[in-house]
Formats: sequence, structure tokens, C-alpha cells
Amino acid sequence: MAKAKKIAVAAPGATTVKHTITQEDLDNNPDLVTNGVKVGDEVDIEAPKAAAKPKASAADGDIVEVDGKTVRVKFGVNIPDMGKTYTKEELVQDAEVVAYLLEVGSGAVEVVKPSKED
Amino acid sequence: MKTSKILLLLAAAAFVSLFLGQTFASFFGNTAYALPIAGVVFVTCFIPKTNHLALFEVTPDLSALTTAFVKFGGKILRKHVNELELGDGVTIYRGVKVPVAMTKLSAKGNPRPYRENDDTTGNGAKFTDRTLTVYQSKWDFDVDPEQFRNKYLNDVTGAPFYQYILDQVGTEYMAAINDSVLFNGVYNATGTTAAAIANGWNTLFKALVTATTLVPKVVGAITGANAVTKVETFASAQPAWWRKKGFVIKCSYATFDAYKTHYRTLNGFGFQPRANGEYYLDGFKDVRLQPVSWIPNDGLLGVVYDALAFGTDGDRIQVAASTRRNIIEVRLMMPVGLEIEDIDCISVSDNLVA
Repeated sequence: MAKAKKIAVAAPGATTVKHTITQEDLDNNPDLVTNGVKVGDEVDIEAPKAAAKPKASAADGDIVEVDGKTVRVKFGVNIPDMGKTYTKEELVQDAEVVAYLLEVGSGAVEVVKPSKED
Repeated sequence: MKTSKILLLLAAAAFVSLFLGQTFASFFGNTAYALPIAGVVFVTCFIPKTNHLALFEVTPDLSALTTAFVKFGGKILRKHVNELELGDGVTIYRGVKVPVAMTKLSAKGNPRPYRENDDTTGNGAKFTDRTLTVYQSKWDFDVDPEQFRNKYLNDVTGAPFYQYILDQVGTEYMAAINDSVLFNGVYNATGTTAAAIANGWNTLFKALVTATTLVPKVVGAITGANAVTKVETFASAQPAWWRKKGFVIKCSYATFDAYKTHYRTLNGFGFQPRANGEYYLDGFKDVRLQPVSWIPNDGLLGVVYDALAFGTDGDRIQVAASTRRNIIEVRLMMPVGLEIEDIDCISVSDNLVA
């Protein structure tokens, strides 16, 4: 196995993951060829940023961050469109469902702080 | 007022104050109290005289009547308000003098394939209950017929319009219970508003949602562009036994209007009631959409088997009137209590309890 070569422009201390170089990588990144990277080489690249993850506030367990918005989950719900029932605690852990509730204008959630874009 | 008269008045007040101060101080057995008491009495002498009747507001309030020279037209036009409109889905408990337990029986366990052994563990009957408590409410007012003097309304003998006044206050009493108590009332024995008379149904729903005993169904915001879809989603989400029995979906008039608008858009014709005046959802067995004036907010309330309980005590719905000199003192009273008979027979949408 080829020695992993650092090619990512990740900031010092950034989280990296192993990646095996493909021909497509080389075609799309000429600088890799310049650096002598070949197909099959294993390199460290910056880890892709995680999708919006719920972040519970230390002060208030009802708070979720969704798309830059600070959202309060008020109560658990049954979502007929999904055929599922969520407790309040489960909603706090599931930013995707909270985003859905925001989209349909559900009273189960409320935006306590809009995103910067808003 | 001349200066001499003012001085005389001050001297008299001081004399009386000192005399009373000395008297009361002797009574308390401590002469050190004389001056403080005299000071209080002296100051009290100069408190502006007020109309103590202000403590008891005397009606009728005629301040907005024209003062021009006119004659009474012979007809009182009354303010129109909501009625006490309970509608379908409500069971009325009359004569509730003490809290009433509404008891529910259910079976525990489940049937199973036959075998010779005894398998009674976890099986049997179970009773649960919810309690309906009725609280008394009142509306006090005084009527002074002399308020009419030198007003055109005085062109009537006796206590003018007394019966009309009683009837109108009674009508608005029912409206206040309908508008402020039935749905969003929050009981507070020391409160001063109509909403404090009893806990309304939505207040009970919210408590059940917080306790996770009742789980709202998500339909989101209902508008004229989605109401039919949202209401059908809510109706379809109810248990099969609800669907078989048929049920009522109560909503605000704004939600009902949104439904009609969307219905017209989808179908090209209006949402029409059946011969009985009720609005039934297309393709559902006996599911009605019923607007009620006591739901002010967005959202849907599903009820089957008349599971909303309204309690009162017919013996204590009273108009108590007495006369103090010429003032007619009136106290209207009506006991009110709201509860839910069976939580399984209630379904709420998310925005109703938000």
C-alpha cells in the first residue's frame, strides 16, 4: 500500500479521513498529478462536514439547530405523512424531522432565533 | 375663603385632632401615642371628600347617550354576541354539585390460543377515571333607576329596562363563557377575568400533551391552499374504530373558510352541507367538519362518542337580586366545568395546542 500523502488543504488539527485516489480524482484535480499522486494511492483528505446535526443546548434541552436557525421543540408529535410518532426527546435528536416540522408550519416547533440569512 | 376662616378651620381641626389623640392614647394606656394619633386625625381631616359610591359602580352607564333634546324611539337595539355554542361531540353534565368521576372500563391482557393451563396473569378488567369539577362564577352589577333621570330613557315608569338589562347581561355572560372559558380558560379562583372561571378544553389538552398522554397529529399550518389535504390527512390518521363509527372535526371559522376556499379550487364548485346542515368530508363515512365559535386558533379537534364534557349545576344557575334603598343589586351566577371523558376519543392537531 502506498504511503498516505497529505494533499488536503485541511487546517491544522482538522479532521481527516482516508481516501483511495481514483482516475476521476486525478482528472478533476490536476494538482494531484503535479504532486505525484497516482490511482490507488491512499491519501488523507479533510472530512466532509457533517449534515446539520442537532445540537442540544446545555441550558435548555429543547433546543435544536437547524439550517442556522435555533429551534425550540415544544412537544412530541405523530406525523401521519411519515406514519411515525416522535417524543419530544426524539425530535431534539432528529434535526431532519424538525426541519420538516418547520417546513409545514407545525406548532410543535418554534424558531427562537432565525438564521443569519433570514 | 378668607384667611381668618382658614385659620379658624385649621385651629378647629387641630383641637379636634389633639382631643381625639389624647382620648385614644388614654384608651391604649400610653400617652406617647397622643401626638401620632392626633397627626393622623389632622391629616385625615383634609383628605378630599370622594363619592364612595365609586366603590360600587352603579349602572346603567348612560354617559354615551345623546344629551340633545330627543325622544326615546321605543326600541332598544341590543349588542349581538356569540351564544353558548357547544355543538356536537359534547356531553352535558347537569346538577354537578361535587366533582364527578367519569369512569372508563377496559379489559386487560389479550386472548390467546387454547391450552389446559390457567393463564390469568395480566388479564382482567381495569377501571380508570377522570374528574369533572364545576366552579361557580358570577357577574355582579347594580342598577340605579335614578341614573335615568333627565335622560330621554326615563320616559318609562318603574325601573326602566330592568328586564332587558338582566337579559342582556345574561346573554353576554353566556358569550363570555363561550369565548373565553370553553377552550382557553385557565382556572384561577382569585382571577378577575372570564377566562379564569375554569380550565378550558384546550388547557386540558395542553396539559395532556405535556404529560405525553395525548400526542398531537402533525398537519401544520392550514391555509386556503392546503386545507382539504390537511383535514383529510387528519381524518385518515384516526384509528379504524373512529373511521367506522364516524366523528366530528371541530375547527375555527377561519380554518373552515380555508377548507371551503381550497375545496372550490380543487373541484371547481363549493363545499356544500348535506340536508341536515352538516358539512361532511368527501369519501369518509360520517366525518363532519364543524366550525365552532369557541375555537379561535388554527388547528383541528377530532371528537368521537361525545367525549368532551361540559358540566354545570342547574340549581345554582341563578339571578339573585335584592334592593338596597332604591338600588337594585344583581348577581348572576353560573357554575361551569370542562373535562374530557375519554382521552382515546379525542384527537388534536399540532397547531391547536401550540
